[in-house]
Amino acid sequence: MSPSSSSAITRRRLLGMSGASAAALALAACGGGDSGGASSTGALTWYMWSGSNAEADAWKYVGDLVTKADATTKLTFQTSTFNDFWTKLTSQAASGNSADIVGMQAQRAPQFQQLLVPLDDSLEAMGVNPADFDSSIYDGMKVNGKLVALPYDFGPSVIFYNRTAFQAAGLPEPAIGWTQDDFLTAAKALTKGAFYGFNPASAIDAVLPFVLSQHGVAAVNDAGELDIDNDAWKQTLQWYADLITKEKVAPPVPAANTAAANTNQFLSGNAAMTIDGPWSLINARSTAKFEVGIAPMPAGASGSRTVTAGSGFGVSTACKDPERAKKAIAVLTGVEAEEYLGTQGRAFPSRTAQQSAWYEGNKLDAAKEVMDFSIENSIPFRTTATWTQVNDTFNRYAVSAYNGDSTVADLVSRVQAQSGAK
Amino acid sequence: MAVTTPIVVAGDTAAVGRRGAPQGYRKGDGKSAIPFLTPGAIGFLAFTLFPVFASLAMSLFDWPVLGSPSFLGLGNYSELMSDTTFRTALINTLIFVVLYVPINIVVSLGLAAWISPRIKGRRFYRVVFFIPAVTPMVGNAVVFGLLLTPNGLIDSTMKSLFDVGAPNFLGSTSWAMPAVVMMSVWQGFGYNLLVFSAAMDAVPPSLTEAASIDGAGTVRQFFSVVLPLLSPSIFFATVLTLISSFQVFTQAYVLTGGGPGSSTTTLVMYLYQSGFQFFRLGFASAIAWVLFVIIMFITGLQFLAQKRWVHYDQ
Repeated sequence: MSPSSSSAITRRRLLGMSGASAAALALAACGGGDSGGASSTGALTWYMWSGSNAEADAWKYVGDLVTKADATTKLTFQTSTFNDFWTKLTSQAASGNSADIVGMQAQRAPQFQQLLVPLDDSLEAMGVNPADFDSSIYDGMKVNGKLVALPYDFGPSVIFYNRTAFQAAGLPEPAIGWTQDDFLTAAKALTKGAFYGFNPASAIDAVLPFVLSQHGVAAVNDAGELDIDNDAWKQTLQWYADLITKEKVAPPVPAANTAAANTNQFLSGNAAMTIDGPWSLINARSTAKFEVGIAPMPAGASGSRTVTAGSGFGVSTACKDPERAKKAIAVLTGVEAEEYLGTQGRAFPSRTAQQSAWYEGNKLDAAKEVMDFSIENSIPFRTTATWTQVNDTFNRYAVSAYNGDSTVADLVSRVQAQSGAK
Repeated sequence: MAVTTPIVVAGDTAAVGRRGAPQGYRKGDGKSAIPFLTPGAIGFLAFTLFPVFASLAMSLFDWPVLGSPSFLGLGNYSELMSDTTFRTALINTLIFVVLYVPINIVVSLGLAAWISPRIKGRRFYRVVFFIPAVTPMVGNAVVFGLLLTPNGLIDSTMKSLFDVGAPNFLGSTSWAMPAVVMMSVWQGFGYNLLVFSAAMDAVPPSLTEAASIDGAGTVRQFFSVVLPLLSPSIFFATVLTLISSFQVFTQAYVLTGGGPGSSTTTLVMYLYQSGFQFFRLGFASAIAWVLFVIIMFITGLQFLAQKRWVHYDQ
């Protein structure tokens, strides 16, 4: 064995050792990725959507209230944007890694029902009195009669309108009692060049209150099944499509995925009216360069009717300490949290006694009459377990139906076909 | 896993050593290679090989996100055969490939040829043409969405110049796919341009000079001398572009959401919807495998056909 070869062996050994340590490091790094789960020490993970740092900070403030109420419980806040939230929640659920407490929209509750622990039997232990909540959203959080989440906010779909444009055109402002004829007259009078009277959207939520007001039927029947392939829906959809193609008081719908463009077109001052909810009102007032007014849905043959939707918090089935998590969501939707969220304008409180905080904290007393009227004339936004399919199909086919590339009959039959989808 | 991995890796290394460089092969190299290869091999096993076989297994199940899976056998595949949305997605993907690949190659080759002679500011153009390729695709798609939307830049410019508005590109069933292809070409040509541009630089000037002495004009020189020499690069670019175009997703997702109707729903888009919006992981895995087989088959065909038109000798 020559000296050089022995030194070569040493070098190889050295290299081998360093390589082995690198491999060990990599393995250690892989093994350390166990995230999300909570231990029995009182730490809970909480996953909720948010659209800005300010919004996330508001949630963290509310999260701290949980620790204030019970010093042994500590929430770790995890967040993503609203659109990413549902995909991430899905993939976390698929890998059994869901957070202990998750945000939930009433419309999506049927789809995520299996992820959520029923709360009915624990209400007393949580210190929750159902009568404190607005009944439409409280019932909206039930799937097959079981409460799967506690609501923190809700609101009826209403009409947002550009007060400045209405006043400039000398038109009477939309108010309680206005009709769909008034709506069309105003839309025609306001449309001029690239400025339209009304901004349509391809989402099913955007047309549902019109169907309710014209025909008194919703998207889901009493048996809980999707039921839109009928004359009532076809007539309203045709009326809605005509606003774009025949009356030309609304711009063509741009693309299937631009849900935000609806409000943006309104906010950027390109359309005088749009359909939206109180959750957007404070942002709309601060963003728009004109005065934003709200009005109830214009009355059709069945009156002024609308739907309420809202969000809340549920306990995931992956949670190892569900009793602690249940108590935590009771605080997250409790009096102090609702008072804070309402005053900050982050949410229109689902607790009826705290709703005044939203009006007073944001100088919205004028909106109270419209809100009360709309809530009174609303029904919960009922959905089905395949609502994502329904929503997605509706979005894509409504674009071609509204723009005149296909018919509303084709739209409803394609969406109805999703009701039996697995 | 940790026990079996080193054996596989050692075997491979030894085999490569024997075939590739017999004189460089020394006994014992394999052992010290093991720790170096282990991290990469673990990554490959954990993040590539395992998911590949896991998805094959999943495709045989009805596998919901929530709840427990049940065995279906080839049920997902037979459902795919009769699924009209799948057929539409397949046709849309083929339309995209047939439009996008030739346009991409022609545009990138044309621009590469244009900046190939020593024109002034050539490096600058190379950088400029490469910018779209390094810009995040979602960003590009959002900007294209703003350009193409009614009352967007294109529509309002046309209105002010000709008094006629542009079509509602993303909201019309006939315009949506061309719009997606257009955006994709903009995003994708830079990479191929760089490949072709580098290959053109490697063409020996003596060959083009000889051709020009023989009386060949610029056009003849390009088609008879430069283009055959570029054939390996063109082959490389075509294979990669074709594979990536079968996997088209982001453009359609951001620009059109797969609509209007199903006019821009591609295979990967349908896969995403099935898996993450409709919660059918088994069905989505079956789509992934069908796509994989299609891509494998077409890439295989390309490799067979290359013998006829790709020249590796200069």
